[in-house]
Amino acid sequence: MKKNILLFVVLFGTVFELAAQDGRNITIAFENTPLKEALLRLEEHSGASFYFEEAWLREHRVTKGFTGQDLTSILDGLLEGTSINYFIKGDRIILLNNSMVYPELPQDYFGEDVLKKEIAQEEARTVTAPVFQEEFVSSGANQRRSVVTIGKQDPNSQRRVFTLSGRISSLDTDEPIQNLSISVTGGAAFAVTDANGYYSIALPLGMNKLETNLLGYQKVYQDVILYGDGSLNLKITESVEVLEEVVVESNRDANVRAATVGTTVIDAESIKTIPLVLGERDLLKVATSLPGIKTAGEGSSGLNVRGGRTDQNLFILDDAVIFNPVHFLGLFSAINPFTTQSLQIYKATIPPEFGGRLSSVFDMETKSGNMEKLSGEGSIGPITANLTLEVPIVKDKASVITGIRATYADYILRSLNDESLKNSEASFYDAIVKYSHNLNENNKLTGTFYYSKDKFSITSDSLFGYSNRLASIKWGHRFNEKSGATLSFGSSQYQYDIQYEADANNDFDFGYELNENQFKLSLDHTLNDRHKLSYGLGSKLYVTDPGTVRPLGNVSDVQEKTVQRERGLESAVYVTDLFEVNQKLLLDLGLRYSFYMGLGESSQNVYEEGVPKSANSVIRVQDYGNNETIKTYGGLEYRISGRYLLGNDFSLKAGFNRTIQYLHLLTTNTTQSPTDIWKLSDLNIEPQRADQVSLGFFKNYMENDIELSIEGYYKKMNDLLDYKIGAQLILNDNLETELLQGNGKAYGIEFLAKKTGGRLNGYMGYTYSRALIRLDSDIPQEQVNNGDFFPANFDKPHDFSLVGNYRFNKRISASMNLTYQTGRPITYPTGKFVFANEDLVVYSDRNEFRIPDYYRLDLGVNIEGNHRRKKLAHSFVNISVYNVLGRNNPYSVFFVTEDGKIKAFKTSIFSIPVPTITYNFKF
Amino acid sequence: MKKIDNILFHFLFLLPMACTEPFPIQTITFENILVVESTITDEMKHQVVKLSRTIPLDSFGQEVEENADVKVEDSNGNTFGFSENAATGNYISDQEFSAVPGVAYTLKVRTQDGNTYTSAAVEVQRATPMDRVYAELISNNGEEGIQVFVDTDNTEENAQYFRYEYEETYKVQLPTVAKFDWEILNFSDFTRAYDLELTPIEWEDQRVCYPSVKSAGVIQASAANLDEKRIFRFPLRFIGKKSPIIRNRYSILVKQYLQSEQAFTFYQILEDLGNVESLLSQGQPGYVTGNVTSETNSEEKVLGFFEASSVSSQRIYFNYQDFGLELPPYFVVCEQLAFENELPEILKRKLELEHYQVYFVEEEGIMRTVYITQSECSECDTFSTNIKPDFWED
Repeated sequence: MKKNILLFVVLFGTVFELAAQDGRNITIAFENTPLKEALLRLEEHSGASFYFEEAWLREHRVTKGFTGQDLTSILDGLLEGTSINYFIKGDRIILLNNSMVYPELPQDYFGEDVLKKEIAQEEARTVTAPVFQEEFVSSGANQRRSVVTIGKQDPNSQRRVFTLSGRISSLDTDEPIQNLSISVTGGAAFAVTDANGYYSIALPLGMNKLETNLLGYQKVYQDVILYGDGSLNLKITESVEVLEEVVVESNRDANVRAATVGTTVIDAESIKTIPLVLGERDLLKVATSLPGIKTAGEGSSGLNVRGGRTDQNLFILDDAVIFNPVHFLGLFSAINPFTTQSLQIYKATIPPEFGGRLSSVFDMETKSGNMEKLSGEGSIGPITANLTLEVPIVKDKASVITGIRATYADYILRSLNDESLKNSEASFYDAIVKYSHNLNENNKLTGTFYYSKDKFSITSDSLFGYSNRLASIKWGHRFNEKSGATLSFGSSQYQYDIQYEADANNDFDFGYELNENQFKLSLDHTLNDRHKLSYGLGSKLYVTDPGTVRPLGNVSDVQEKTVQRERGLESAVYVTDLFEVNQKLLLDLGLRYSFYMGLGESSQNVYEEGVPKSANSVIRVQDYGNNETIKTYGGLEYRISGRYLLGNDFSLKAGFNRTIQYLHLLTTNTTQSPTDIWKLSDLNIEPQRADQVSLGFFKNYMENDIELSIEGYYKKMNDLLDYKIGAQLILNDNLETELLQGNGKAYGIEFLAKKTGGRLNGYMGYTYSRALIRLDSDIPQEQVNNGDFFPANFDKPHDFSLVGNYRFNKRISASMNLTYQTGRPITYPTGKFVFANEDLVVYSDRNEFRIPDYYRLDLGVNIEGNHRRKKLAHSFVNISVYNVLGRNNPYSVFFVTEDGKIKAFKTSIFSIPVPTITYNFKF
Repeated sequence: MKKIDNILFHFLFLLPMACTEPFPIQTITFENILVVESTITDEMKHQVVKLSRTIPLDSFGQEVEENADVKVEDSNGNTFGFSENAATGNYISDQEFSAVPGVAYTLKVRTQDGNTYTSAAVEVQRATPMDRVYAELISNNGEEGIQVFVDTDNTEENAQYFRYEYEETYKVQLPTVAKFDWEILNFSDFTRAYDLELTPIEWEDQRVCYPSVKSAGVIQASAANLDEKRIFRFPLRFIGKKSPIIRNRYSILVKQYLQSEQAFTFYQILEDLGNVESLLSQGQPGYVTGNVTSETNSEEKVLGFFEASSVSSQRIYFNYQDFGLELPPYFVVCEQLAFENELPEILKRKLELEHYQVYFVEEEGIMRTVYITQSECSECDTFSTNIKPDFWED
């Protein structure tokens, strides 16, 4: 290649003179002549020799006439509109694609002023645009791709920054890849692909070393020499390496470079080696090992994010809400780990497109099915079996993924010796189907259906079941590379049912149901290099039937009763601007306006002010007709965050986040349970509101292999719902008389260190945090703990976790998981007394004491089948032991009066080591 | 719908790894709180107010509040004074009176430390008599036994909440009868030898005892969620078919108190907090506000409820033969030991420490054989009385 000759010359320091031009004038004309032919003719005319790569000239034709012009002018004319530059050396004319060869070396190239002559303008340019391409294309690692040049070098251009945009898709399926980060190695720029795989990144003139990053995909290093705006589409392959790694990570560089604070991505595939109870791979359980996300204990279904209550998390599965994403009352999550692509958690700055919950958003996305060939994955564990199939419908266009998981716990129960358990029943299953269709390059349609069901019969006379159902459809459209839109519809249902049949007159069938239907339109538009806008609107209609009880059987004379239906409409508009103020400062300015209407038909009690709300203090009952507005609430929600780079891989981030919640979960228990009731804001129940400020430092070491972060937050919450002691929430027509609304505050500092590469990888997190609640009122009966702040049920100040994985070789790896937490607060008896002829206890102020600290160690070994290509299926065996130390972690402590005497009990859920073998296969 | 909560969550026992174990209670901090328990009824009688104090968790018994000034005032301006009964520690009204519908009653207490307490004004609701108390042989979770049921055909619209108390009285035929008082004389620490002096007891018919046991705990039934406001087949008391209390004739007196909603809720919460059964989702315990408050210090905790209630009662009798059951065993396995002449140390221990009684002595010349057995097998006084109650019908 001629270019190489030239570079050889340049590198070895031949000093060039300015182009020798003999001033010969040439007259020549071309009529739709191929450029190559034109140049050859010019060669003849001028006597100069041209050096070029034929490929550069293809497809260029010229129609131009030159009369008595010098060679330079003619060349300028001929090459106008192409990306080719030229360089004249004596009578040799060297053509270059994109690059410009500087006739002199940069100053001080040899460490001294060899060349005195300066051309100020050009020298300035050499600083930003490197001349020598090869110098940077070093160490050709196999993922590296050859240099791409974009735009044409123009010595007269003053622009220093250009926009590179394009689409990134999977090499195998051509599916767009979302959330892939593209960043400049050692530089400042950073971009993430959107749902359709598009990205846009502002890059400085000249050589840019780009790298892509997404867990589960091979890392691609792409060197780009940029001379103008342009587009670059990449196809990347799935990574095979990822099988062996335990990585739970933010988008690698994103942890330093993104503007949002408190964001975490968990890739479903990557968690498969983390040892977990009974072999169930569980995204939500892994989430709890990260700073800021806790549960009240094993077997508690809710999550507490940064001091928020369990009802303050929005769980979204493919754009529809899932209300109770757990099985077995909280022991396992109901999210199928095989069909889930990733889980994105926002615990501080929540993007303004989401709303309706105070503390966090768990955004889960299902994989798109393989569009090329049938493939599948499955696992067999001690409790469940799981099978996922990916079926192409139209090759490269449409596919279906379906996942089914079911338990065979019934069989285990029946095999137990205990007489009382033999007749009991406990089972669950969940199923998901997702259809994806790439209509064309700019339109994509997906639809998801999900259903989960749990059923228990503990005593012979009762049967309890609950289920989640959701369906969603989404259409993504690109108008052009700069703008696009997504329209989605979602429908979700949560319901439970209790049947009690003991052949008595109180046999009943109790049912609860909550429905939510929503639509959302979101648009994005890249205004220019510095402003990227997203905006949209959405609306949700809630309908709940808080309780219906019916008699069961002939003997029963239970009165049929239905608590009146509640309806509410929550709507919102939002806009956000990702504003790159300069290379260091990136702002994410988001604003959401949400508006809620409690809707009739309904009767609402109006209570007298200043006295406890009770049946006696009702002034009047207000009736509302169908769709009549009961009360409206609303407000602006600020979602602002920013990043300031303190160095190449060191940044400071801060955020302010305001959220409003109109739907509340009522529970009389210290932890969440499936029989809790969701209640809408109405005349008497205010929405909950929260403000959070957060600040964090993020630093990466060793080529981003080690990530460190420290984040602090302070959160204030208003109108949190609590309840009076002994409140009766089920089938209560006047719920507000049992409820209290109070304030909460939470603060904490979270430390996370991650190692993402190498044989040894994993992460370590430590959090110090507090979560406090105050229930104060002028009325003593409505005070708790004299109106002072007290620790919430899930307040666990110290929380440490360590997750590690060591790969011995390609097939064997070992992993461990260590957790330590302060014991949760409980209300403990402070004395006893005799009442109604039996001993009873009197309790302390609420949550005055704590149960003992919690700690647990889990170990696991993962053995892969061999990696022969032609094998029918790839297998993977996971052997793990949960709670290796056999620590008897108390989950709860309670006091029972038996035979008139008080007895104290403590319960632990997994008090002994629990070994498990799970077999996984993939084809 | 408390049942809804209770049905759930036993399920964790399903997992063999889950475990619930008892542990010794320790007092972390102790709060001394006045406890008030009083139900005045529509019966013309000496009404009772019980005052006590909370005690530390690791102590036993009951600390009665002494020397308090107790009275009940009604809305007609009458005041009924109460005096402390030295035997029971309860405060008994000086005169008999009954709660009358339409009149509001208020309890006033001044404790010996000078603090004053007052209750909310309460009224008695019109009586709804119990319809029927009856017993049936049933199978309860696999165990056969006799279930005592209550039916109340309600006529009053507002009467929906009921609280029950019962008192069981049953006949006990002693296998043997203690006939001698004993005394240990001349015990030598060195030889461990002693003399046993026996004195025959002057006794009447001591072979039959009539123990009475009161119900413990709050037993409640609500008709609030039922179509017809009646209580039907309310299971009050279950007695297993092998229970010794039905070895001879058995009787149960059931008292039904009609409660206000507030009183019902208070008792129910107290009872619920004493029976936090669910493992996974524990109910939130805490201090339960009753209707008695401190006038001296409004922040002071007071536990208790003063209620006025109409009461109805009914007594039934039955024998195990009525249900075709086999003779249940005695309370304990009666051990009958005989000691010929020698007086080993074990005899002394049985008598002194294990409360054995001498029920028979055989004397042949210088040979003396002493027969002993447990006091539960030979003496009414240790667990009941030999006096036949006035109401008893054989």
